[in-house]
Amino acid sequence: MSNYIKCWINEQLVETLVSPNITVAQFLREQMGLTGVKIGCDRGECGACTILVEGKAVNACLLMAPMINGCKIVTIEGLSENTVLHPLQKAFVEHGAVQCGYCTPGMILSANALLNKKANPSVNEIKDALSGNICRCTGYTKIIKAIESCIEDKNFHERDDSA
Amino acid sequence: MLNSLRYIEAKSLHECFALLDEYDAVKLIAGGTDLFIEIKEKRVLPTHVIGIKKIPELNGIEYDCDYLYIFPCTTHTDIIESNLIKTKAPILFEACQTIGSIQTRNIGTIGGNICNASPGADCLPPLLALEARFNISHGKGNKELDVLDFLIAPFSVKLEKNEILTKILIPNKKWDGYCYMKFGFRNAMELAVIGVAVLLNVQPDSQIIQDINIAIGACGPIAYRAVEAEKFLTGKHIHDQHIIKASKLAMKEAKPRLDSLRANPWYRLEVGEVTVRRAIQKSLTRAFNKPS
Repeated sequence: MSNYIKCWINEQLVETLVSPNITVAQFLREQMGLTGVKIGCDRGECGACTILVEGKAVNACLLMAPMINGCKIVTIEGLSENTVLHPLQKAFVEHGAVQCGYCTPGMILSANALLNKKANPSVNEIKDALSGNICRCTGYTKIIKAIESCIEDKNFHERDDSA
Repeated sequence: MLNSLRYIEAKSLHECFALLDEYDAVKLIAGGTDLFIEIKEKRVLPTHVIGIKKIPELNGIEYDCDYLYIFPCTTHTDIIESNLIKTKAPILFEACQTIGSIQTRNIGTIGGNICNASPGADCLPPLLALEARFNISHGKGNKELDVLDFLIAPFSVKLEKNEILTKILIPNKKWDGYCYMKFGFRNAMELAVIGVAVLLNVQPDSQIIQDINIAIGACGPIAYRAVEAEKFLTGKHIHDQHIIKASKLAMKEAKPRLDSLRANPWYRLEVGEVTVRRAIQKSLTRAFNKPS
């Protein structure tokens, strides 16, 4: 038995049937082709599947697909504009904050949620904002430096990519 | 997950009660940060899941002269961002910040934390210390229970199949000092080894503790009030040796789990005592720094 949902995914209106037997992570990956949403632990502990729902970072693996009815969703694919990288994506690349890349979409979206809420967070506030995102490769230092570099980036603050 | 699972989004309490009556193996879901994992991993097997997050009567924070009212589908993030909570129940503000991660706090709810009733649930010691009451409705009437009447056992509360927790009532009582202190091995995304909630009133001139509530979680099947410790400290001068003795008394009533993966009973009692002492000290510091 399916549920009808109407939502906005990366600013595109989506109206479709979804099964209640899948998570939002599975729906976005398999039905919408948005494979930038990564599935790690599948129980809300690693943050790899972080997406933005109404501008707030949430674990897509913890939501039943019908729950996003009426919501605005942003995935990592929604941050870049065609081939132009979002300042955070560019900063991650330039600072060596990406190794295997699996945590990266979730990290960037958590950072994006923070910077949309607070223009000038302290290092501790950045760490708090990322405390639900685990990285097994980088040791986090370069991830934090990449995010800090965006705080001073004028181009970042002139964009409006909050959901 | 179960291939036959059906999801229905309830738009009102009335609709919710009707659905609870209609189906047998039914579960209510708000945020789902605990329940959904249980369903995915097949430890809970409903045929129907009713989404209650969008029911207007179950969301929000209000107050009147007697109580602060928190509705159960209020997320932990909503509680942290609420000025009402910061001024009227700052111990809850402090406790909710220790739950999970930003991602889980954005969808997890206080009602879910209460009704899931994990022994280490971080909302329960503060609510117990605050002398909170729970309003439970079954569509044809309401009843009110206090926290210890509501909690039965780990993951078990006094809710019949067709009943819903509809409101959390926190009496409007003044407290000079507060603290929720959680001890765990990580700074985030962590379950408590012990969670201590302290509320107290002091007589500033005589330095006497007039009133103190100490509630402890993760040290027994359900949260408990450290009644002996409270009685000992009430009317006493603020003095380290009294606080140390009170922290030992508080752990005398603990019933730590013998087969816990996170902490041996002896370790839990050791760090428990230290955490109680520190929580009392922090509450006292706050009581004396409180702007008049």
